[in-house]
Amino acid sequence: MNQRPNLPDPHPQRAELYELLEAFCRGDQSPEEHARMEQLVAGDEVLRREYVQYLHMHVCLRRAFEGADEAEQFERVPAEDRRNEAAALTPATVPLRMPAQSPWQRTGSMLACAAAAVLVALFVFNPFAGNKPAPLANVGQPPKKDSVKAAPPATLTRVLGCVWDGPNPLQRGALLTAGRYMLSAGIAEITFASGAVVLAEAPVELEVVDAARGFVHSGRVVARVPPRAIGFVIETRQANLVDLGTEFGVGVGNDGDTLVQVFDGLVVAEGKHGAAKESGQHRLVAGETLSFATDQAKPRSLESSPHRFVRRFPDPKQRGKDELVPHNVARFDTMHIVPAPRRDNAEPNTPAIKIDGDLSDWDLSGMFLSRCVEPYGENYYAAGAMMYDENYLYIAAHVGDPAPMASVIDPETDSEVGWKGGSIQVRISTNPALGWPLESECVYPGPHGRRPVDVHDQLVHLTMWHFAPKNQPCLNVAYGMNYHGKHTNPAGAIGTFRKDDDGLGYVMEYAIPWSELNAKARPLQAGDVTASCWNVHWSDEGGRVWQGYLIDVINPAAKGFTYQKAATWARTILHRQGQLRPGTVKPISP
Amino acid sequence: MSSTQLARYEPSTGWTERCGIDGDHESEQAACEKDRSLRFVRLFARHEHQIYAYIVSVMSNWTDADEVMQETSVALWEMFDDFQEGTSFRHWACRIAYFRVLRFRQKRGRDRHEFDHQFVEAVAEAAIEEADSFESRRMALADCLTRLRREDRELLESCYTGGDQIKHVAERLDRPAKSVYKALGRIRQALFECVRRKVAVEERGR
Repeated sequence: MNQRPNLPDPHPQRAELYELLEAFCRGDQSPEEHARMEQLVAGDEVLRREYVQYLHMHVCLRRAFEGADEAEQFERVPAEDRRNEAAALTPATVPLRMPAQSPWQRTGSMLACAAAAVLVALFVFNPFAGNKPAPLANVGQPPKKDSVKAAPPATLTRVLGCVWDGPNPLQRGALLTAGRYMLSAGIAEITFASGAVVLAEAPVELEVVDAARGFVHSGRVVARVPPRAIGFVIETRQANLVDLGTEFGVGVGNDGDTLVQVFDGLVVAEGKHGAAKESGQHRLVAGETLSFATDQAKPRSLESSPHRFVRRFPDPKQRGKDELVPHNVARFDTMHIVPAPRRDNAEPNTPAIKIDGDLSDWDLSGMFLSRCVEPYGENYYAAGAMMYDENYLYIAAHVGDPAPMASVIDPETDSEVGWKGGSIQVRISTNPALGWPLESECVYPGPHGRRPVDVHDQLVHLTMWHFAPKNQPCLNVAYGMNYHGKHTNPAGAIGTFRKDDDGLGYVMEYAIPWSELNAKARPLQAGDVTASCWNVHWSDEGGRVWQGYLIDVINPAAKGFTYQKAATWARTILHRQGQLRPGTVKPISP
Repeated sequence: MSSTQLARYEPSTGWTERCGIDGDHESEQAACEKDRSLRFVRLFARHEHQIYAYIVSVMSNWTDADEVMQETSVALWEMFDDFQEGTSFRHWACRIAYFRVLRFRQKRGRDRHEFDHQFVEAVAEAAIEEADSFESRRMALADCLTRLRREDRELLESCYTGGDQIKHVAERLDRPAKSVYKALGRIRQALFECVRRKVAVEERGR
């Protein structure tokens, strides 16, 4: 007999995985074992398959043997009762029935009985006669008889990070039949056949009634109604809102309380119950807000608030594999840094401009503007600019942020994750001799090993955020692609943050001495070409949970993350003269 | 009296006819529902182990997996009208299960004992791919079980029957719990290997 050569197992961790799976099956896996199993399974496709197969076997064993007890009970059930078991299901028949056969045959029957049990349980509260639950993604009434095979009344025209409460993830372009749609994450744009467009922000439960009418059961929507769709109605439990060519927002609480805020044009609002109904029609124009409460009192006028209908990023986890995909499409491949205009009364060796959150003393001709993709672009954007002189590198930004300056990331203890709570990150090479594009990479085991260029002190990562609890501007500095020499709030760096008047953004302004950038001996100067890039991060309102980011000013020819691969950083030009001609800062050609 | 066929629009499949329903004809309606129940029971029974294995592989503990399985079972019944005959029930059911898993995780929130999202995605994908072989693996396992030594089979049955904790089984058998754990692991791994060999032979024979 041929002896098989003693080849090494290509998956030496297999035995370890089996041990971990055993602990998992027993239910006594420790957190460390749990983490190790996750690591093994996530990192190896073969082990992943075996993990799934092993668990399937365990499930089959459970199913095979767990039924033994019920099998004994079954033998006591009269034969007559065993007939037509599924057909005989009624609220009154609850027993699990099990033919006494081999374990595997028993398993099959037991599974059938498990299914039967599900049915029985359901029928108890949901008998045949009507009231059958409809699918969650569309739990509305079925189409009316006269509308059968008519064109669906609405179309899903855009989806962003959407998670629908139902079996079929609705894709862009889906035709929507009349019924309820529950969106648990993301933003969806629904275009009604009449031409009205409704932007629904999760969590929301919206019913498509027909081509010219929607019903908001809960949540917030914004309706835009072009002239051809005038007369489009948004209905809630408390009010009917007839749109006369406009844009308006509707918010409905779980109890049906309704708030309508008109952004543009004219809306006629009418209460459906009690005093609200008796008060008749209310004509609302741009800037007006009306509230209909469940107590059926007269509707109340409220002050309009820009915050009410802000489109927020979906929970990043809901984006699944796209969690780390930026919310924007990078538009700029060049950063233009201009000389800082020196104010007349500036002391020597002090910043040329006043660091006060007012950018009126800046030369903003090199500024870029990057917006997140629609519909977030209105609220999530960043305009960035940089200037230089012999003492400082200046960085300024105006960031659209629905939760501005809210970060609670403590610079004393958590500065390494300063980006998480909302921040601006600028990465820059302060040594033009390194050239562009840069070769430097994150020091992971790679074909090159660790090279000097990977850990170069003049590759500088700057993370800037506002620590809300102390109203403190924060700057974290790190060097090289291995992020060595990290420190926070260095002496000499001056920064400030200022919230926008409408509370939907902030301005950041920093002057960072060249010494902090390891370029005191030779600051970047006119004519240099180097590399830099920008990341802007947003958080939740609590300033702790990261919600998403944009990356711009990049080298479109390079792939990878900007924090791992410096080749992705954009060409960066230090101009001799400021006040760049219009058109100098231009987006990447499509 | 004519019976009206209700139609329903699904973005992926277009208009589909439904079981004949006429509001005035209760007997027809009941017959339709009975047919629905039988079809559901048949499909669910055939695929339950696959759906459960799918859920177990992405959940971090059995209690949660059982809860999600329960919610999924109810959802499958509720949504059964959406299932298109002729398509894969398993795929449809696993898709629903996936959303129940996500919803459960969302409700529960992330803690350190839960798998992270990338893991769930990767394993869910692997489970869907592997599910094609689940039925043949199940049949192979049935055969492998018959080849176990009698005492091994009895031990396996003792550990799986009645939901007893293994330490109680060990007490009953008057053996140290550790030795029962060890034996159980050895038996399961032997079964796993046996199934692997059988499935490989079967695949080579195709």
